[in-house]
Amino acid sequence: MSILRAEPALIQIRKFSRIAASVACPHLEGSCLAEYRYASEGQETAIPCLRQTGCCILCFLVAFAVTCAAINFFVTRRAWHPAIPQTEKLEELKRISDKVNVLFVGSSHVLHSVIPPVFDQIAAKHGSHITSYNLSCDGLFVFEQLDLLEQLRQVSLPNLQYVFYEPRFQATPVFGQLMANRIRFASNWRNTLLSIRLKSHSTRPTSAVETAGAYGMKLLAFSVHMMNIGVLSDCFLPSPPGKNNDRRPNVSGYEPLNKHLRNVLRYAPNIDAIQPVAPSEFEMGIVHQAINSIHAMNALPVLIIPPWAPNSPYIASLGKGLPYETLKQCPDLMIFNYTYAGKKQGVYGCQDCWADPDHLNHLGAELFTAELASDWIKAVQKRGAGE
Amino acid sequence: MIFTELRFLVFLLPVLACYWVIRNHKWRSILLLAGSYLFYACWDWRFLFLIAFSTLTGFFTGQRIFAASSQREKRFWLTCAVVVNLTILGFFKYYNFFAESLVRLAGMVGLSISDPTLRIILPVGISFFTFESLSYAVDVYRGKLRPTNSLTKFALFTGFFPHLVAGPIVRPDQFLPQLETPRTRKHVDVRWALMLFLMGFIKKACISDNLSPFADAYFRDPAVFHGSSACLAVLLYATQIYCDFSGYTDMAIAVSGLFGYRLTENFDAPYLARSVTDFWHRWHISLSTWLRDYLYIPLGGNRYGKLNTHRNIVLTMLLGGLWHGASWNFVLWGFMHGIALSLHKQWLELCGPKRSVTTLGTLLAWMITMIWVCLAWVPFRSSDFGGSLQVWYRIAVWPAAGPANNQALPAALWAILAALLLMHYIINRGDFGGWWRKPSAMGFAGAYGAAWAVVVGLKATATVPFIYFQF
Repeated sequence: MSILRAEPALIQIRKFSRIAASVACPHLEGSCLAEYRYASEGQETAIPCLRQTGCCILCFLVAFAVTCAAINFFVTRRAWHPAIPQTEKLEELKRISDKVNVLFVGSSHVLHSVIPPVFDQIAAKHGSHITSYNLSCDGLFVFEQLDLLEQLRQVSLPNLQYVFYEPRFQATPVFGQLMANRIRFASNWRNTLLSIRLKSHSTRPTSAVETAGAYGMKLLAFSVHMMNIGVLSDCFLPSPPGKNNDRRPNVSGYEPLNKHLRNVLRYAPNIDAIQPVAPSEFEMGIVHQAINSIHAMNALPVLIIPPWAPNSPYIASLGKGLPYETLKQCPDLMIFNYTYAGKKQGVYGCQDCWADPDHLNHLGAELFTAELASDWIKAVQKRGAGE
Repeated sequence: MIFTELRFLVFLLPVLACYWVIRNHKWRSILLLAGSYLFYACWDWRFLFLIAFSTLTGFFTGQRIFAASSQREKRFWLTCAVVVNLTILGFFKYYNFFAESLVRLAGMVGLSISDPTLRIILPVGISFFTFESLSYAVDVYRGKLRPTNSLTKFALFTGFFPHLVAGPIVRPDQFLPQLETPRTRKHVDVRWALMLFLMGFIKKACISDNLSPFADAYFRDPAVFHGSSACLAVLLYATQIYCDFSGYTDMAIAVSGLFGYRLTENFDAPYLARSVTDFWHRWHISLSTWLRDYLYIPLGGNRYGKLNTHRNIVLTMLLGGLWHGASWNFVLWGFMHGIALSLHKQWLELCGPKRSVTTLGTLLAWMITMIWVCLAWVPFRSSDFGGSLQVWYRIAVWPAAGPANNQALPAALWAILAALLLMHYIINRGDFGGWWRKPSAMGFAGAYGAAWAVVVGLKATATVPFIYFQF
């Protein structure tokens, strides 16, 4: 009975193999539409052709993988994200590289909140004559920050002393981001190898499905990264106008946000109810690498968590979740945390200082930079006294 | 779901595999129809009812026309088919356009009308499937076609997913006989289909999508750019729209080819045309022949004197422009082509049939054609008439850079455009279908895999929807 049932299936498989064979072995079928010939109906033709079909598919996959790997090795690893206008900032930094003592590396929260001339002025008042530069960029995540810091190692910065670093966490890439070219930074070889060693999911308790999903997504993201989507066109095509390259950074690297948004300081108790999405071990691993990169530049790292209004969801994700204890173990690391701590001081006492719950405007930036500079000077002096 | 996305591959491969595994022709048709409707539902499942209604109307009116005993009855059923299809098209595509135009016109003569516009979503591919349904009814009426008795096959004729949303507009006399005949492996040229799909993918994802941000940036606000950028932007858009549409068509033909069906050719190196008439023999061929057979000829064609011929040409192109979109910009685009076609016809009559053409003359004719075609793309792309005037002004006057217009499109794009034009010429001069047939199966597979790795690297990161989806 089972043999009888199996027979139609066998016929179907044989038929499918012939179709597959015609895909792989068109020379057996005749190559031109008008001159198409039927293949031999016998099994003799089908079986060797099935083998050949397998070989052809294998050939296709191997050639695809080898070429992708070659492009990845020779092109992708060396290509900087063209959508991030960091190249121009790097050029500006190279121009003043001899003078710079303090660098700020972070996302939009630092880009729009730290004014280097104000920082230098406050430091000068306390007797430290320094030149700082804000190398931050909108939406720069930890992976891209690490890449940027590694690029900085190629720049000669003889007088660099401190690098203020804001780790902007990005959880495991979500599906929608797979096709974006940011994947080049998040899921490259180095990060993938690191993620194999460390947990890819959040440090909070997770279900097996979530854990498997995180690892699955990593694998998928790595595969997409290896396909180098858009890498070659980015290499020879100029940047389109009107997106980022019309934003020329000013000489200090700071970009003001001129919007004003009131009522952003209302405390939102529901924030407490949000389960903090803590950075994963893997992301913390990237942060440690970034700190090591700063040390390799003969500079001291200063970890900074910029201000967020008390109703910003980022408080939940970062202010609570950041594993200070782990970070404090890093040698020579200063940490400045400016997230809302229930006190209405500085920018938290100023209704007109905010552009939105996550960003300060120019007034807020002035206030915050002065506070940061004072705190830093105090910490440096304390450290000097300690030594 | 568009052809350049990964999810299209996820959709196509199982459908293709099931199609060839199924033996029964009827079940194959049902599978293809289900697959096509699934493909369409990925945009908006609600419009499946619309396409089903249009299909049912087309099918039953076709049957009625054929079965009618008198000419009057035939005409009645043909009118029904035309009215239903044009009502669907008119409501979804043109209602707001005419309502807005009416309000504006009333405002100009001092009348005030409350805004009658509705929030209508334009169903994807509506212009294509209504035209196909219309041509079926007309062909049956003319006695050119015997109506099909299978609703599934008729539904597949209008709804076959490769041509469903952006053409080419298939003709019933070409496609229905293919649907009637069971497909076998002799109908499939796999290597040709794979190569055509790759070429289409390159045109769409590597050329059109990469050029799109530059053209978009310019047409968003032409006033902030130097005069020198105007010509470049128009050429960029001309390249973008050609690669976008012909790339889509290539992929559609290739996918159909894998199922054993041949769709009509839609492009034949249009930018090598030496006259506007020649251009319309090479650009969107399925639409131009449709307009000729179902609009120009019924209007009288060239049978009622010179003046009427010119009127018919211009009218056909005006309606052809309106078919593209509910906007006066498209009407203007159609008018420009209509005038050019009419002038060219007059020129041919003046020159007579035995005119000698020198190389210089050919080059001059090509340049004039290209200039006119590119100038006509301006209203096609611009968001309004004011924008079109702005671009034409900048092309004509070439204003110097100032504080208000200090942006420029990168000059490197000129080199890229020149290289693309040269490739366009070389590919269309030689026989494309030769060298890739020569390697062995494994050699071809290996080269094809390597080619895909490079093509994916050249693909634009952002996937841009096909321009003709909006029509």
